[in-house]
Amino acid sequence: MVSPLTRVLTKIFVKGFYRVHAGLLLFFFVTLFTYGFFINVLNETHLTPADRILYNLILVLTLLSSPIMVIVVFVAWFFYTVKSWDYVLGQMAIPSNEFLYYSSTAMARRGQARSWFVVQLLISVPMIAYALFSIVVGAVYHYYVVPVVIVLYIVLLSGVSAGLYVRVINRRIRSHKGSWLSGLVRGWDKPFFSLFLYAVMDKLKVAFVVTKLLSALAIIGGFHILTDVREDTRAAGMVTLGIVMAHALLLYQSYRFEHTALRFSLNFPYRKIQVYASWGLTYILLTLPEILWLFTRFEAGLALGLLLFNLSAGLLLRSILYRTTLDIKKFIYAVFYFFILSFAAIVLKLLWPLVMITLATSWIIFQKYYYKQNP
Amino acid sequence: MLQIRNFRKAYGRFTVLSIDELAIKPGVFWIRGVNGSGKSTLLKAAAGILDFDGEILLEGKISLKKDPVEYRRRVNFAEAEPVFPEFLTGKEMMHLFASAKRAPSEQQDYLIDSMHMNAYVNEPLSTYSSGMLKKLSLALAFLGQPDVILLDEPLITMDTASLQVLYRWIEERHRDENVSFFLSSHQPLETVLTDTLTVENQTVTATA
Repeated sequence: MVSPLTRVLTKIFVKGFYRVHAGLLLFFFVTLFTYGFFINVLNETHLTPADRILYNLILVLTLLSSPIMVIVVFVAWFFYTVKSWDYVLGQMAIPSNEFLYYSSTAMARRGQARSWFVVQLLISVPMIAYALFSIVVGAVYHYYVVPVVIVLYIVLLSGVSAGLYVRVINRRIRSHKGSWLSGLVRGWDKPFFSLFLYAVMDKLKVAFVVTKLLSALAIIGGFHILTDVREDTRAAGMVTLGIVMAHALLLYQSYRFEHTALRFSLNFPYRKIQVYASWGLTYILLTLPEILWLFTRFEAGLALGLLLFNLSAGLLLRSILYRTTLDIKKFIYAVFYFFILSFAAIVLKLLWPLVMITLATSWIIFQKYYYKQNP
Repeated sequence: MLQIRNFRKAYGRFTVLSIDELAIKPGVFWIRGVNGSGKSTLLKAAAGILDFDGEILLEGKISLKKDPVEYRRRVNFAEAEPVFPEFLTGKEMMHLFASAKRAPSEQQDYLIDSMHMNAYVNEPLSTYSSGMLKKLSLALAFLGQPDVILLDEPLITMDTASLQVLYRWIEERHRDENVSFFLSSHQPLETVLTDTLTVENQTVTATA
């Protein structure tokens, strides 16, 4: 029977974790899936379906039989766990969850630890699913050591996490003074367009790093896959589309920030075009490293086109959020449709019309829904 | 001063508030109503934060929907439970609002001094208590040269000394600059009141 504490903690932290990170997990899944899809296309002529299954198994088996892959995957899982600590500890500190400090702590430590252990296991479901798959394949192909190590590793990570949560919840609440980065920029001028950048420094550092890793992956992976058209505008357009996709999660976070912490700004006497342009500027600053890379990699005319595509696409996804608000499912669907349509336009070498249509659509949606957002 | 026409706000199929026609003259108004009656909905809609069907006009000509910038320059608002970016300091919030509402710089100092916020106004908001945050949000609503100030539950979490400061601000602004106030509250207000607006049965009625 599930204890009441486990049930409450699961509702608060596990559901919350997946709600906030659904986009990120989905993007990881889609990235892996897309990679697999392209591998199949490239090898279509000489691989039978049976071969493909075999190669997929080999991928898992590589983890099972190669110590380096085991270490790489374990390090990735460790970062995933650290990310979950960041989320859970952050949620513990919000006022609506403060009751846990004076209710759950009345239970025996062992009972508390058991509930938090279950919470961490549930947060680790993507890891556990992959581990189970590896264990089944390992059993079939007679690899026994690594599956045992995998199980022990997951138990260890969840145990350490549970210990950490129990320790934090049983000590007195410490006031949040902001991150060291926020402290560093205290006193700087903070105009409206820059507020999300400071919010990233304060609480979204991990999301930012993950976005930049995905963006780098889109650039490297894109050129790796599209070797035969590397100098083509299509390859450049697709890589830029990849950069935009990598930033979709951060765009969602920027909207969440505006919707909650900047709600008051709807009462500001700003013109709509001013707000629209300020979010455009925020997006340009967020993707500045990628923009600089575009200008070093491609000739100026094409780089300018790519910059405008990046900006218009970023603004379109941002504007769509005023319609979907915080419903991440609807947003992911919209991102997916945008990806498909843009992909087709790029393949047909319609980059400039795509830029114009995207920019116009983004402005139409923005000005229609800016004041009509659901609370 | 404020006219509400064919106003309707619904959440799904449930109509929270419906006002066919209501004309309000300048003054200081107490908005009364039980929990969930729609007081906050009315104030948020009038502040331009919440979408609604219908029209709200200021001085018979400035439309909330057709002249959004001009309307928002003249109507200020403080939420019942303010939420602001935690990494900003009180001073930075004051600067942000002052630049948006075009407030003279000495106004900020006056509000900070008189509400006794000097000790913590340079600290990040994450360190503020709910009362400190409330005082800041009320001070922000007084920045600029508004014609109307909407204060949602201004009494909650405020200590008695700060409440006296708030009452003084309201009286000064109303007397010297003819600013109108709409104050929602469950408790009686200890300030000069022109009229009471009662929110009940999904509509608003004025009672002298």
